[in-house]
Amino acid sequence: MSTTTQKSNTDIKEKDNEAASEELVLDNEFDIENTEKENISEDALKQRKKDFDAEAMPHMNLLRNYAYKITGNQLDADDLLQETFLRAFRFFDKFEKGTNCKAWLFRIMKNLFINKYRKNQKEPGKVDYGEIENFFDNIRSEKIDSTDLQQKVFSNLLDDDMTSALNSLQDDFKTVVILCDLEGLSYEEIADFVQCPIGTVRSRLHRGRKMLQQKLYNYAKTRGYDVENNLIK
Amino acid sequence: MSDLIPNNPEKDSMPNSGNNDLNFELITAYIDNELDATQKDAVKKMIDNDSDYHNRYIFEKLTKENFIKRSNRIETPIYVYQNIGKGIEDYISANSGSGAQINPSLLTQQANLQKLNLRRYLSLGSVGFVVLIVAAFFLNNYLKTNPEHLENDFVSVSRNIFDKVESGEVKLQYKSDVAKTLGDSMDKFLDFKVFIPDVKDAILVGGVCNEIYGEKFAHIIHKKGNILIYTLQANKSELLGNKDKVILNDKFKEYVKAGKNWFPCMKDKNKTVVIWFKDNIICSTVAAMESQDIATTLTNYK
Repeated sequence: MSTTTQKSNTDIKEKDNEAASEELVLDNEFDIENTEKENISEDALKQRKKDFDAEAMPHMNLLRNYAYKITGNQLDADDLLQETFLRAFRFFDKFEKGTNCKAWLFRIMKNLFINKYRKNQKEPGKVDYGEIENFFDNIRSEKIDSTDLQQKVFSNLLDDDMTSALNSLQDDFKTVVILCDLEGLSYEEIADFVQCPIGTVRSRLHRGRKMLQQKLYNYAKTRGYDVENNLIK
Repeated sequence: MSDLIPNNPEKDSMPNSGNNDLNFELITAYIDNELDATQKDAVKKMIDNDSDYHNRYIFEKLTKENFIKRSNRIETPIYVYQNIGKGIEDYISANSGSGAQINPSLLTQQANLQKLNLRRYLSLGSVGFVVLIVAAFFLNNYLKTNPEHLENDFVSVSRNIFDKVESGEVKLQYKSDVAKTLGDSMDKFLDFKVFIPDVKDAILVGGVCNEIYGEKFAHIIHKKGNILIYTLQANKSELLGNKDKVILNDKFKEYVKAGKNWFPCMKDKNKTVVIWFKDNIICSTVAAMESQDIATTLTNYK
């Protein structure tokens, strides 16, 4: 089989997986609370568990950290994680072996969060990106010293400031920042996770980080640190 | 520079997406090591020669580094693994066999076996019944001398609820990591003033108020890393005076009356229970820790 054909087959499988992960959450037929019995033998279920243990369970820590970052508290994170894995197990026969299981689980979690948990939380409002650009246009023209900036802005910030800044981002931006900076995934992996082109991942990441920078600058300023003289024209 | 940039389909929908912004995105990709060698060289030159580029690069690089450095990664607690495992097992046992076809001859064999076994079961059942009576007698005596194992014993209640919290059966009524906010919310329900203990290096997760055998209780939950620290809290004078409702072991009552403020109870499957009090509240704290470690983490119980 040629490389192109292989790739195209993989693409088709990935698309099937995307569709499957969407319907796991969106279609009531796949509701985990639906107690209708599955028409499957015990052996098949045991084999499914074996495959699930090998393919899905190793990604639990990554998923939990992501759940914690998007929900903002450990209890909701644990609930979301449990629900994601139980749902994933139930519909694991829909997962195409050999494709990216981590991305499949991630999409189930993301959709679950949006459909179930996000409803109870207020999503951060849209940011005026022009305002953020103005902030960067006003950064002074002479070269900033890295050590100086670390001391003047970053070392004065609390861990809570970092969390608040991250939570102030809209979901699309927050997701790519978490996956890239905190989980260390490549752009290609992130693109696979969030189902968008790599260029979009880079663009969201760039903008997300800019929003964070402005937030952190404002926090440092509020805390009374003389950041303006060190950073602004 | 712009010829280095691949197409970005989202650009058109973004506000103020000028060419400069696209150029600056290369700084992001440079920081994340997502450029090929040619692009990398080009961006490096820009950073070295253009102070605006340089400043943006420094600011963004420090932002990423600080986020990585200061972000707490949390390991998945064991009880979450257990819950997921149990959920899967339950699902398997609830669904298994539904699709399997049973050979009718096997059913006949099964019926014959059942008949043959019936007599054996009856004789074994009589022996079992006698054993049960004897066991009940000894158990009754044991419970009289070890009241901490009675269902309505303060220590037993706290152990049982800890298990339920750990397995996720208990949902929090009040979620707050601020002691005052949580205390104010819980006080509205209780007939005593709740005391939220300060637990060193742990986060306050929240609490629940309820009535057990007609008596009001506060349940407070902290987490220290993956360790769950659960505190059951009651009105001290009421608990000491109780003869029915939820009771406290006579020996422990004596300790409390004598002013002994901290005594570990029997350790059970890696979890320890300690009793302590403050003003007019009495607490039973349960955690998978040594009693001395619980004493060290509860910093303001005295």
